[in-house]
Amino acid sequence: MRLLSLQYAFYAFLATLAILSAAYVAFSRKTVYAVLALVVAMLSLAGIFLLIQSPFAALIQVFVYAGAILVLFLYVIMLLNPRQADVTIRSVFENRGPFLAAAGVFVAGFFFLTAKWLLTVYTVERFQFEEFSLIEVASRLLTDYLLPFELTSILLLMAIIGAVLIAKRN
Amino acid sequence: MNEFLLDTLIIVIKIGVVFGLVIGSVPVLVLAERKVLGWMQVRPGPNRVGPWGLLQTLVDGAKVFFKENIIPDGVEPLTYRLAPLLVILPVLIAASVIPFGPPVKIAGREIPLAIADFDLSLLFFFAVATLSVYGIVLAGWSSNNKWSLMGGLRSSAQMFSYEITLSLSIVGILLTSGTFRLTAIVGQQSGGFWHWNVFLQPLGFVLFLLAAIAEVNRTPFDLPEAESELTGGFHTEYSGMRFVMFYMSEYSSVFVMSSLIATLFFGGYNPPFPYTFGTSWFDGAIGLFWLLAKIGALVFFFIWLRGTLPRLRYDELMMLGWKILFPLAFLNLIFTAILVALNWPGWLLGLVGAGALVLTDLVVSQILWRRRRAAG
Amino acid sequence: MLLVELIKGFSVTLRHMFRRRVTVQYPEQRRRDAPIFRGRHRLQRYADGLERCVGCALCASVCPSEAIYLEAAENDPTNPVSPGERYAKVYQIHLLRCIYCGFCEEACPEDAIVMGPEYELAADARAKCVISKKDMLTPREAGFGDYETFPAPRIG
Repeated sequence: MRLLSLQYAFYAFLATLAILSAAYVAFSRKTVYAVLALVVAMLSLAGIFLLIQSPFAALIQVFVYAGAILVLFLYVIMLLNPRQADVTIRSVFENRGPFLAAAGVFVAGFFFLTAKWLLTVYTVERFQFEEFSLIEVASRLLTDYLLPFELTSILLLMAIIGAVLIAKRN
Repeated sequence: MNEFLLDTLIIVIKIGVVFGLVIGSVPVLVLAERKVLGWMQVRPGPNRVGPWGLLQTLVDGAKVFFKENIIPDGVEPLTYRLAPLLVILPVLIAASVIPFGPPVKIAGREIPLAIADFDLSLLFFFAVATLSVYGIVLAGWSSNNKWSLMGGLRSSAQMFSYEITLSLSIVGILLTSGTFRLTAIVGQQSGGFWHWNVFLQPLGFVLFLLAAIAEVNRTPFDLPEAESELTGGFHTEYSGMRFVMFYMSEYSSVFVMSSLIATLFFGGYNPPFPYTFGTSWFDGAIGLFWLLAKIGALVFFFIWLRGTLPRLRYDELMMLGWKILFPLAFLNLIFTAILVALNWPGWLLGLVGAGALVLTDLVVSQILWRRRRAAG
Repeated sequence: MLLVELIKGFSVTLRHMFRRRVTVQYPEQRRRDAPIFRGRHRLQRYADGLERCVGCALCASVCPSEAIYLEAAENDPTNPVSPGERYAKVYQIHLLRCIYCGFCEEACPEDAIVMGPEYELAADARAKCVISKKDMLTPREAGFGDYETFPAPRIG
């Protein structure tokens, strides 16, 4: 992945978007906007997945997180009065100038580091969805990565049971 | 011509065709709905503007175009403006994976007649179509109106509940066809209507149809805009072109969802009799014709449904989604998986599905009957 | 069974699609009104052209919404307007106030005011909704005793 390729431009754009929106999630006072920024962050991550040739992960990212964030959205709306959804904590980042400068340096540094890493790991010339194989993903998931796969499902099961327990207690 | 430019040109033309079809379908659908609903209520429907009232939606569009775009006090200005766009964009993007004809050879190039034809096109459809609920929730939330907010919340709860069924009910098809690629799924259904997936997956089809109706917020499940309880639901505070965008997204999502149902279960662009597609543009047109005919039939069904069934109550909606459709979808997935693993023939699969459908119908109606009797 | 019930319901709506439409295409097609329909008021004349109204103002006093305004004047004996002592010099009805109850018609001792069949009373200004004698009087040319074709409604 050459530094001046179209792909790099895409990557730079998506990575900036992801970081900026993630920062917005952390520092925003409007909770609903924060949730929306989280959606943007997830979507740009999906875009990065596309760039490193894993459309399946990208689509699952959109599919699963879109739903999950929507739940968060509902919690925000239902638990906070929608008119007073702006949390009023005095932020440490009240003083914006130095914060923005630091964030800029951080973002720029992140690009150069990750770009170098991507350069060594992936040497992709163009988008090649045609060569992607879902069957490959599936069989890998159920052979090489069976243990993490099953562990994840157990984790999710535990989460479900926990949720049911918490709901039943009331 | 330059290779790259030619590719781009072809894609732009395809995008123009598909978006034109989807957007252009909206006035036709609106008129068809008003006409058919009118006929079902023993009245003629719109018949004043143009011959048989054919120009009615054009005139309505012109009227609404000149209306004032009111932004009420106290709304969240950014999200209020953003929401209509967020509702309509996912529908259009999702439409890009629907194959609307067989591959066509023009000037020595083979062109697949779908904007995007890749291995995960079905997954792409669902991933993108999910996003349109954000528009509805945002519209409801930013309108500063409790009825709008309730409409938005209802819509999102409904989307969650039925999306599970929607996704699970097509896994049966994925198992029998072995691919996520919509063009491949359509290709497997060629050679006459008895090859269509609806006969392979009758239970899956019914589940998908019900969940799809809930996803596009059509009548028995149109609680987000239940006008008798929520005035207009999430779009109460909208007017002018922004309101039209909600309206357009509703009808274009009906169109796109119908095209997906046609593609998955009714053989897509394949005619109902054995026909081998060539690669001329004429064969492409034949494919488009049959797809549109199937979409038309499905749209008629959607309208018919609206003319027949009343709206569900909210608890009934949730009960249907979680206690009936979801377990059934799971059941369908399990027995399809077993039968596919055992390599049983397709007609047996269809028979089992139909049997399961009749059986659940019996059971559910028994339960409902008992419940009604117990309630007195 | 649920499925059978659904099919029954769907077939009902489908059958209705092919029924004869019941809509009356209003401006071109008109429904026949009932003979006792109470539309806009008319002031009747006798066969000799004299106005029936004698300006007694019973209609105005019985009107529940006070929509009738009436000014009576003495008849000139050489050239009477009505057969009685007096006649209505000004007779106005405010159609936006009128509730079309027909009490005026009932109260009238001379059968002068009757409710006619006209119901297309929309106007683009309030002032146009106040009608006066010239709007209500049966024209001389139209034949005079034609109130017989509008028999007084039975109320109650």
